Amino acid sequence: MLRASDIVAGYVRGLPVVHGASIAVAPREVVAVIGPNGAGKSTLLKAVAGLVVRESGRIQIDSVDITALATHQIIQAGVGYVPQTANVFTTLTIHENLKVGAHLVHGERAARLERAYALFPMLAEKRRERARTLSGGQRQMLAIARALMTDPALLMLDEPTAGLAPKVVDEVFSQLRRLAESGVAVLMVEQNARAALHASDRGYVFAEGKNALQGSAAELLGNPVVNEIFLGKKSQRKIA
Amino acid sequence: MIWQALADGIFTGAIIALGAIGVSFTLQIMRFANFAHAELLTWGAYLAFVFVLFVGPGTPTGPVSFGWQLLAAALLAAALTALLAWAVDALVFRRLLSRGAHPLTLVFAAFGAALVLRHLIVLFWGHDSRFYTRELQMAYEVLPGVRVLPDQVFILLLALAVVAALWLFLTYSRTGMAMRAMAENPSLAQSCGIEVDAVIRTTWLLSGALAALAGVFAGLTPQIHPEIGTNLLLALFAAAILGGTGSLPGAVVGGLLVGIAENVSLIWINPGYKQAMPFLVLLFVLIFFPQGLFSEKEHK
Amino acid sequence: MLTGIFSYLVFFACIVLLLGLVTLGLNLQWGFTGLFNAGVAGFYAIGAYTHAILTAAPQLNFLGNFGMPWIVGVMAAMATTALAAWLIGLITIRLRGDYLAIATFGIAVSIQLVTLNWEGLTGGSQGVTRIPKPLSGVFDTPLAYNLWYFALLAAVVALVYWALERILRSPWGRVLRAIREDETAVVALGKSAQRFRLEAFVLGSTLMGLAGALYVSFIGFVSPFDFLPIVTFQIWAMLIVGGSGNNKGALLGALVVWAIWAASGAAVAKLVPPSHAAQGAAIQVILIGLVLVLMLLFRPRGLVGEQAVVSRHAPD
Repeated sequence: MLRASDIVAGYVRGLPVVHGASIAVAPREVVAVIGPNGAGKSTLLKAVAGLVVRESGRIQIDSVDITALATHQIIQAGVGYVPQTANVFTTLTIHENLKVGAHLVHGERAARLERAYALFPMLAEKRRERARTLSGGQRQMLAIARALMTDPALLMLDEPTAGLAPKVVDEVFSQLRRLAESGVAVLMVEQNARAALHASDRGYVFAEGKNALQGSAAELLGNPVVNEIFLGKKSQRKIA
Repeated sequence: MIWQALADGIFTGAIIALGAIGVSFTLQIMRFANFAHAELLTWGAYLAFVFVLFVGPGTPTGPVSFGWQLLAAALLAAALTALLAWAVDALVFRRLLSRGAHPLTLVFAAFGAALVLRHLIVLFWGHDSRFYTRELQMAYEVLPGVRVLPDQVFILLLALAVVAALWLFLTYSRTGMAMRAMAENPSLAQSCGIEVDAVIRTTWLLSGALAALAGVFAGLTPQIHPEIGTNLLLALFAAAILGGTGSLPGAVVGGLLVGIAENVSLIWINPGYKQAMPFLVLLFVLIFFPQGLFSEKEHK
Repeated sequence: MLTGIFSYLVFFACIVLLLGLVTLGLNLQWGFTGLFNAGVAGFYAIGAYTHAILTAAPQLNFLGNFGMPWIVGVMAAMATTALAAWLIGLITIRLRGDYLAIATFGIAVSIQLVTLNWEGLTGGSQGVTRIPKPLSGVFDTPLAYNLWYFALLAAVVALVYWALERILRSPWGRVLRAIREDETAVVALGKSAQRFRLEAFVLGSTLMGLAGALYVSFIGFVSPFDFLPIVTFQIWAMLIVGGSGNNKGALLGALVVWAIWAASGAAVAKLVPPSHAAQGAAIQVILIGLVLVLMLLFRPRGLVGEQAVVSRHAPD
């Protein structure tokens, strides 16, 4: 579904943060990308979404090459993206957030909005309120609901459980599992490595801008090297 | 005395508000101070004037000094100025951006474009003042000590109608919401599938149209001359920043406040300094609360 | 006839040196510090009027006109401009780039309004006349005087140029460069980055004030109409055309832009009937505006600029 190979990307041309990463995600899969801070995980997602400079490599959604496309075209090709911060429009109401998420949707917009409200009843209650008034967990729900408005075939999430209470974390992961079961390919970058792997089918371990390890979630959880990376020496470098 | 100043301030403020809306969105979405915006007001005024030269301003209808022809001229001017704004972007600003220009280079280019635009008007029309209509109007005393011209009231009502229409557009239409989304968070807006270029194009078209209307209204009360836009430049910036960039109600309230401040201050200050008043407001805002009145987002 | 042309060229060269001095000041602010000063005309005006008010022969109805010696006028002009720049800088330096542009533009407009309206001090729209020219008694002919003044200006500009080059290679100058180029240096320096910027702003503005004083003591009178926003634009044009970030470029740009301005002015005067003088002047401005915009589009580096005005990868 998503096939990204040898991606070199960064915020400034000539200063890449991702140094030749390759990942793949199939429909109905939940894939987690874990690794130390500054490893370039978020930047990889942004590269797929077209929000950073892509210097080389190839990104394909099914058979469509999206490497050189603009973000709005990538979204149109079936990608959904939930950034880590500033992932809802705080000056818009919940209803408006969802409507904007459905910017590319014609004809079915009302139906999809209702479907979102059915999936996230809490959002329905507050639909006329500004997104600014939502709690962290509620914002996350809205951010995901917003990204789902275009019915993406691939949903990418950057640290969806950051700063959330454990119970909410569970809820988010089970939502994502359910999504995958309904046919979506889910790719998430996570700090919460253990919990993420438990909720995923496969995982990639990222370090210094590229893949270090990969395997099924079970393999990675049982892998002593992986445990060392997370419980032992964290990368000192932090990229602003 | 102060009530008259207040009334005058509201009328001027309405005109400033219309011009400031475009500046506000340009500042927020494109992140650059478009010094050429004021010249769009001047071009709008003169384009309408050309039309009026051919068909006349129309016989005075009711209490106002003109007929529907002037309104038609204003609409035509709005459409043409919208295209002009877009053309300047496509020819100059877009090109500079695509070459990786520093945002301040755009400001400078805007300065240059402003000079060219203004002096093209001087080239064609000279410095003399022009009038849409030679009809003399009687001022009505609506409150003790407050005289207003029917034209002024009409312009105010029309400006309110335009703002209301714009508000509906921004709130309910797909494009309008896309603009608001882009104004708040460009990358998130892109992640919704919103095309940046399309939003920018719409912003320029709207800015140009609104500026033209402001120019026509300014030209109506009472005359058209090549400096008509330039004289309002600082007021436009002051209103946009005071109200909070990217906010429609902000630009409107900002415009009214600047207009009122300008006129009320005339009671105490030498009229020669009139142009400096909006600037003082601007300085005050920039120092003490640069995010503006209606801004709900973080300001860099 | 040849003397006429030669005389004109000397006069032309003097103006180029004066404006080049202003451009050097702007280069320090923009080229080396990254500050967008859209109020150049204002500082130029402060220097000019300070000198005028202090040195002009006493006249009725004016507050100033103390008839002071030329050098006092020049020094005072520099001091007043420095003070004004310091106050203005304190308020505006920390503003975001385009807001700084708006603020400085407004300040220049306000200063121009003061020169126009505060008649008691500045003579209002009539301006200040009978400003003494230094050593005017010594040289009989205008040509001789202009040659002397050219020599004076050349010496001043050479001195300033040399001083700027030295300053920019000094530790202070290196810090300035770092602030302009490297965002992390700015963060590391914190508040003191602002201090450096302020110092550069004041120094650049002082040069503009100096040029103002030298200008009025050359021409002999001053009026508010010498300081309209078009002057700011002309100086910026000179910097852009010459190549910002480069003092040689600043001077070269002054020469080129003023040459275009004067040549187009002469052409217009010849071709356009006097009744349409205003429109002729408009052609001049349009020409300069177009030169500028085209320069930005097609040769952003300027004629000799080492660093393109145009490319800065770190966003504001």
